[in-house]
Amino acid sequence: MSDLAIRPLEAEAPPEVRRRAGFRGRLLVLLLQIAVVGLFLAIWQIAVSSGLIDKFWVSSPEDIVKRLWQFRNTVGSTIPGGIWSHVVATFQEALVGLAIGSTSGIVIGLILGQWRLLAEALHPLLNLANTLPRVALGPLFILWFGIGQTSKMTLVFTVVVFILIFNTYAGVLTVDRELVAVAHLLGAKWYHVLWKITLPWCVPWIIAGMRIALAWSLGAAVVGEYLGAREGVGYLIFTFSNILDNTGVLAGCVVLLIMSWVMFGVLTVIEKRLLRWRVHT
Amino acid sequence: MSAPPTDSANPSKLADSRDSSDRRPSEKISLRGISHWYRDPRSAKLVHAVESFDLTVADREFISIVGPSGCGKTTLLSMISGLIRPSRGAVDVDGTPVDGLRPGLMGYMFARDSLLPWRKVAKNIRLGLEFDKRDIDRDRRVEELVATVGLTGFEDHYPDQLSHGMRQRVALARTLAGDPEVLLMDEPFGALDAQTRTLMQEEFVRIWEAHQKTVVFVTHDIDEALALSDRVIVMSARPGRLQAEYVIEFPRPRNIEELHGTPEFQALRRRIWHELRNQVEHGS
Repeated sequence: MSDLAIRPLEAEAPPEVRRRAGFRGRLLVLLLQIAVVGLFLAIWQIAVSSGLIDKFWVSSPEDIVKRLWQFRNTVGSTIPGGIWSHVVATFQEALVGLAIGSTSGIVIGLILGQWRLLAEALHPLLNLANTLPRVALGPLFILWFGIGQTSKMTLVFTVVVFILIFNTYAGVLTVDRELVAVAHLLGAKWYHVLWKITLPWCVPWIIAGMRIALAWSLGAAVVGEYLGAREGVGYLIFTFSNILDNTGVLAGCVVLLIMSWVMFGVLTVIEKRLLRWRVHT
Repeated sequence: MSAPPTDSANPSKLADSRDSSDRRPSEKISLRGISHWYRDPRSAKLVHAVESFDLTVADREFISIVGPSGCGKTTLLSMISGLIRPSRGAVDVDGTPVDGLRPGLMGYMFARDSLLPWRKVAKNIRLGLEFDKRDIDRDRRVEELVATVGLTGFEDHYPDQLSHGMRQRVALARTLAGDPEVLLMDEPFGALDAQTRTLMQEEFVRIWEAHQKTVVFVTHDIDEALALSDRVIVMSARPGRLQAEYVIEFPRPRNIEELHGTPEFQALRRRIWHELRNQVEHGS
């Protein structure tokens, strides 16, 4: 071992990266998932077809699929046009509220992390505000901003902003102080530390917050539409339910499900990119 | 407080009394009458960390500080760097009192590599250069540093993908990036395995010999202190005082592996170990 002519780097092997489940394992999981969903749909369909459960209450997978196919061109006799403009409207409400809400939440979380005294003063107040069900404010937002999209975006904002304040602040509290010391010793100003150490350090916390906020944003937009709107998937579902069209209600829910899948899919892509450095995850 | 009178109380035991003023052109760092207390955050007790400490480090001198754990070695480094202010006494670097951090002048390296896990090797080395407003070719500088610490080919690796020794190389390159005149090293190789440590020591000495910086090196490893330094300072148990001082005159460039085997090295090692053992037994 005393032969120092060996290049040091060849003597040091990097730690082995943990391997993921193999292709066969993943295929098995996928098949199992398909089986569970298929079984659920089959039982539902058989129960309705055999007359065991009244179709009026629960509709049936077959009817829902047919209705979804119709949605391409028409959503109902009282509402002109297909589903697409409604999907776009609800997406806009959720995404604009999410974008403004999460950006504000991150900024406020970072500010609170910088001024701990302010954080100590505001934390109980923020907690209190967060316990209020924001949906209760919905009618007020409609009064202020009208029946259009702004009132729904506001509702989404009020839900999302708290989630990201709390998550970002929790992240700031865990920042490795030695990393901050290193940055200062290398000549960093406070804004360098904030931008190059604190913010990237908090990215996993922020993404965890975004996962929660994403689900809530779609929900808040839909509930906002229930309270009063002229368009949107929530508006459609509300309209269907008024005329006791339960197939329409459930078909609308399937549309929402697909929308939230798309949103989570995009977030997962962003997450993979931002957290590339975590080789173990 | 049992503060001994400063000058006469420093029992400087020079291993070799040869006048070495020709090698020490000027005074780079000077600590005068440093005493320090701090409140331990957990027990809320006042800790007397350092007492009446005097030390001057010449320009381009390599000095090591050894001492029992908790004797205030790291506290001294933090004071030189400007991270903390001594309760009493003054620190001068280049004849100017230290009043806050001096990034261009002093580089600091921790025992932990403290790399940013989300940055690749090259970007980690680059960190300090990004705070520097001057117009410099940062990419080229990073390339040079990567080569200096022997990490060519690993620029695009994340810290998680590197071994401990390689991560310390990245930290060393990051510290060297701003070309500081003074390097403050806090047990930088302490967590490495024996072989890697010796390799890192040899490379560090090679870099130091090429760039001739002033180094204050804190370690608990006597072999390391002897192999690297021009002078070794032994500190007493807490509150840390200057206990003894040894001038190390092994010729340079040094081969650390060979040096370890020489009788002179072993003799000196025994003397310092004896000194240190008294302190460890006192302290506990």
